[in-house]
Amino acid sequence: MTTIDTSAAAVDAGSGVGRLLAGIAAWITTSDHKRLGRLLIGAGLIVALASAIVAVLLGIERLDTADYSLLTAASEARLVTAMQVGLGLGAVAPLLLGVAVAVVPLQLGSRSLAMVRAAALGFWMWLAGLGMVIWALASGGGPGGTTANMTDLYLAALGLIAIGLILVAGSLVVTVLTNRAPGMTLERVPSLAWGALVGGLATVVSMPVLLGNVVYLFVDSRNASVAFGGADALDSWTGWVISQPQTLVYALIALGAAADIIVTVSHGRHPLRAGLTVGLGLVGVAALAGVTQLSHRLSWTGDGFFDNAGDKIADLLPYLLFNGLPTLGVVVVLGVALLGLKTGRPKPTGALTFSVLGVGMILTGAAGNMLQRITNVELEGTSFGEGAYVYVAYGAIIVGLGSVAHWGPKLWGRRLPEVALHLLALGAFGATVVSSLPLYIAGFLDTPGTFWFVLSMLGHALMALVLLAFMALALGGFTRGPAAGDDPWDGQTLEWAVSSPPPVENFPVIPQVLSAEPLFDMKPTGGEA
Amino acid sequence: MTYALPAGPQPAPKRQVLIATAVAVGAGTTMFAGMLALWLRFRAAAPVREGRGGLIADWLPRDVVIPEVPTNVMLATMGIACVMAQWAVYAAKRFDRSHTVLALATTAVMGVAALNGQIFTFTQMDIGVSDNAYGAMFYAITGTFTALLIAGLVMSAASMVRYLGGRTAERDLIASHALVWYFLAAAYAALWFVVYVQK
Repeated sequence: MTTIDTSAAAVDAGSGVGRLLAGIAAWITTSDHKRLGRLLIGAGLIVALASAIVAVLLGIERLDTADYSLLTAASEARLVTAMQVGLGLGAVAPLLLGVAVAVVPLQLGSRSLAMVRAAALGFWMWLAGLGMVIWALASGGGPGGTTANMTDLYLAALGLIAIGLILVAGSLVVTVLTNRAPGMTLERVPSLAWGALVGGLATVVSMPVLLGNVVYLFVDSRNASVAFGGADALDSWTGWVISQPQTLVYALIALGAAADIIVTVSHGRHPLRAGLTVGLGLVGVAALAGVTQLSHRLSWTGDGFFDNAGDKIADLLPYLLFNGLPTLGVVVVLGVALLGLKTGRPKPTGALTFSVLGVGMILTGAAGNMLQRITNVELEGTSFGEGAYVYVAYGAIIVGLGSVAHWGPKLWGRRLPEVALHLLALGAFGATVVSSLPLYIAGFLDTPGTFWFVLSMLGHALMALVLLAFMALALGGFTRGPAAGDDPWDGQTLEWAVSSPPPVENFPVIPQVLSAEPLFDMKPTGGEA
Repeated sequence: MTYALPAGPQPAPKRQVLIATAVAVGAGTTMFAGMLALWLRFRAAAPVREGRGGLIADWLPRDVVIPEVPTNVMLATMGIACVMAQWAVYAAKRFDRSHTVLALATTAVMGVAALNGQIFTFTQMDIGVSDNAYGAMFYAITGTFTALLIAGLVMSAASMVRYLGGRTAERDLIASHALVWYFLAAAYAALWFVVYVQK
């Protein structure tokens, strides 16, 4: 099939307004995966910033005393939903899918993303759905909503978001399965592409379940609201999609990206690449299994260790299977990736700092999810769960920022100042800890004081500032920064073989791949330390 | 510097449409399985009452009768549609254009017959979507299947038009078309057993 490029340059636009309109039209109708990826990244970053600001507002509301209150209880519930939908479905998922959409075809030696128009449609559906969610929540819809029509709109919006993410993730999956260069077997696929495959598949099989729920809820809500309990019970049917362990499904691409960045800056052939593949697969499968088996909890009864031993083992095995394995997978990915730093010639970059700290935060959130499912510690229903969610979401966003810093030079042709990136990575790390750890601590307390929520609010405010600073840095750096060159990190995968930014069709000739590090095969050092 | 990568051989056929269809079918399967699981959950949670053969779940309203003949005929129709879709694959593989188009058309006719059966079932069942939980869930799950069925019909029509337009080399599209009808038949078989047989 012939693809006709209607880029801005190709359109006859004599006036400034004409050029502007042609430029906008070219972005809206783009079938270039790099542009589409940048749209997703930009939108994801903006929603991440908005979500952090909503979290600050929520923190202010939680400070209220008996004397005043900014919001009603229903409004506060909607604000919580806005933050969770914003972080999970509005920021983490599109930001990381965007990185994958922009970079994965380049890593695979492919000229395009498979089903790129379906992915573009998915982006616009996701964006429309997100706009509708905001409108619905602001107008009294959503969980605990008081306006029936707006609750229906919220449900329709969730459906649109689900379909949009399925289309983008599905395109990525098909790309990795069918668009690899000759010689690039699945064992040789870079970690980001593998993470995109596993994360994409997990999204493709989990989001339709939300869609099915939404169909039921919508039909029931539009009619008598007799089956599902109306707006008040909405969270019990759709809440799983914005809570643990589904968050790990969205964060899967982040784990792949972090592993890829760590391996690249280690400047050596990784001695245990298969370990990364297995670790990412383990997180994907175990997180999906955990999503389907949310009811498994560990209840440790009896005074002695061996009291009710049979019951304990019967509880322990599914608990470990559905809650422990995802955490183990994250540990494997981080551990095996860091092994590359030991065996290679690592050069600390800002992206590396973002990646290691981000995965650390994801790990802390996953471990928190594991802990809160032990019924004896009585953490469920407390702020602990929100803390775990924020840990994973902010951790994934931090890796997303690192990914933009790492692959941004390839996409824009310019690089960002390393010192500023290191500082921002530390700032994002601090913001995540300050926003989440107090929620963990408050979860353990019988009557948590407002101090912990003040701290958490400050953490969210700091994260908003970090995101704002990163966006300003990226806008300036990627438009006026120093030229990056084609291979700024002395990379080992195919995306670093083409010019920065790459031509529309990526590769003039489809390359032959002979190993998992095809670029090292062409370099004099050959990737040897 | 830009590296001059060694040119690879001509890539093998990608089967992109077939893989994409398989991914879409996987998504459809989890959606439908999730909906059936919720149906089963609601049915299991329904209060029990005295029936002719003992205690039964008070799920299907007493005065509602499911017309079993059209639902059973639909099942047979979906099975035949699968055979026709596979016939299209067989004929396309042998570059037998006329039989391919005939098989695609017959698949579509079977699909229309199934759609007709579903609409007939709606008209025969005296139940409203607002009447009770059963009504809301019944129309939600059967409505979703009807939407998927219409999507299958659109795919049949599109495949036929493309094939008639001369794209006879697109055998992957015909295989994808068959995969979609296999999925639709499996989805309906599950729906038939859970909603119409077990009720």
